[in-house]
Amino acid sequence: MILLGIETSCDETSAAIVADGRRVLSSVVSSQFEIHRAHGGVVPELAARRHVTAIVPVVEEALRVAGIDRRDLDAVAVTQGPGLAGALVVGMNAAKAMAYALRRPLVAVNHLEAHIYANWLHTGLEAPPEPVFPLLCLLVSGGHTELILMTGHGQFRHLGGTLDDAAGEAFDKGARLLALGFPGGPAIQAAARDGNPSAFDLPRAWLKETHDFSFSGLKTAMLRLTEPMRSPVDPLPDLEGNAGPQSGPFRAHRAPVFPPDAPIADLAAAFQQAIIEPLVVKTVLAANELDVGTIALAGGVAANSALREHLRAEISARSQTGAMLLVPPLEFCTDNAAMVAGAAAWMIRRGDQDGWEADVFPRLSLTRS
Amino acid sequence: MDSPISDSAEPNRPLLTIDTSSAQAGVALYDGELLSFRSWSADRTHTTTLLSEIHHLLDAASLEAGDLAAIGVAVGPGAFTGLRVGFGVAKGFHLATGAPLVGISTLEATAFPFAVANCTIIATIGAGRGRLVWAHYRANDGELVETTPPRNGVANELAAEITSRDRVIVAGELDQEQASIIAAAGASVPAPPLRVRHPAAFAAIGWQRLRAGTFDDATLLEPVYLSR
Ligand SMILES: [Zn+2]
Repeated sequence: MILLGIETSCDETSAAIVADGRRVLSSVVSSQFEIHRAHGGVVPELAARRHVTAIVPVVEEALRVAGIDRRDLDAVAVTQGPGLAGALVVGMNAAKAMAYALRRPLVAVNHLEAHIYANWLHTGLEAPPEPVFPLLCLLVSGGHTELILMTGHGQFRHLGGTLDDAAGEAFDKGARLLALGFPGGPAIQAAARDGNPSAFDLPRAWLKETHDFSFSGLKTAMLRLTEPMRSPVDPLPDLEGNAGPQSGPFRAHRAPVFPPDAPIADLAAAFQQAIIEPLVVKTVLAANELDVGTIALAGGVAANSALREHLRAEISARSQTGAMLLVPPLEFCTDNAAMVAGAAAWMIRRGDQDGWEADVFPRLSLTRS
Repeated sequence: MDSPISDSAEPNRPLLTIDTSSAQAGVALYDGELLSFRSWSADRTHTTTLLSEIHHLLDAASLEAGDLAAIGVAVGPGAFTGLRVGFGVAKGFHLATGAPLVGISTLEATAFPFAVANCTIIATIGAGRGRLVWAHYRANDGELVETTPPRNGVANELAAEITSRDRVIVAGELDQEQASIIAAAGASVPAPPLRVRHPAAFAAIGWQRLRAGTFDDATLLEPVYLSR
């Protein structure tokens, strides 16, 4: 079963060809990173505009790299949500028209479910062993921070999630406060390499007895901590990225200025540690409590190597169930269409497909159970 | 990709046009004669309704997507999300069948039915919150020439531009109040159901472009973005 996947939920236009829900024959991602960098974050209108001009070459490239003729496709899969409304409609309508014109089924996929199914993907000829259920997934990205229990294919239970900022969002805001650039996760990770995470004492929201997270207190503490260190900038950077000088129709981001001797590496390391610690500790606690067979990472923040290392260490120190840890290949952690085509194959096996009236759902959650 | 551009001159391969510039959406099938069209109030449901409407059109004509010689798509000005729905479908058809794309100005299509009047035509489209976008066209022997580029404003500002002693027709999306302000300035304003843009106008303009072989780049074609 050969599927084309299309993903346009945020700032990456992507298309991929996946065989049988596991083997990735091609995965093309056209990143808009350069477009959004000047604004210090993703500008939804600019993202939507870029999808319109990227969709044709990205899909053609995915077919070409896989060596697949469009008539050999068995179905067309597309992200239905959650995401930016103006961005989602481009992929959804292109996928619908392709499926219609090729007389193939359309499969509308939940982006969060797709992230989890990245754990089934591989690029080699031989498939690695399949994840064992029940599976506990820590889904961490720019838009999401959730603990999800998966008891079987298509069977999801939302255990908890962030009450305010997503982990990736917290990284972006921290990076903005430290003038490290966008996207924040890789910037903070690079800056933290030679830093001492214990040099500063930043708060962690443990929210005991729940599977929830919170990063807004950390963000405020970081703002207070760095305010006296940075040079005055005009106007002050707004944490939400809304302030700043107007340049054309979209606002440009003006970074704060630090003196050369500012302890940026220590600040970045302490900030990164304060995000990662509650994530890994609460994930392993939940895994013990629910006696899961697999702990899986998913989402763009899973690309953070400190998170991977700490989770691995926490599992070997505190896991009581012998659960295996799964981490998707880096390219399938960040937004991509292979995970969409992958998830869709399992949906088709369950008899799930969509009609021509399929809509986009910007606030879709993972409530199927 | 095998493209049907070479045989687009075949008279019996039809053109499909898609207009999702505003809440009133339209599609048409044309092969030199108007085969059929549909116009519906999509409000904000373009994504859920467009493909079904196209299916009705093709099905009634016993056609498949692969039979289309080209896809015409309204490029605006108009509501961004609505336009992107039309672009998504047009580009999806292109990806599946190789059919070339033709971008058609929404305001030109609005002025098109009045081109025979040989006068100034101001074409309008609603821009939300009582605002309008409009452009001036001059008809020369049935050919439309845009004489002032699209601008955004309110009905009073449009009325202030009606200074010519020649006849001026104002067509397009206008509510009753806007229409009276503009009529009071001396312009001819057609009756409500006849002044709005029609799917057949997109079909006629798209067909001229198809016959001339002037297609747009399927990758780069994008909506017209006017600053609000
Ligand atoms: Zn994502």
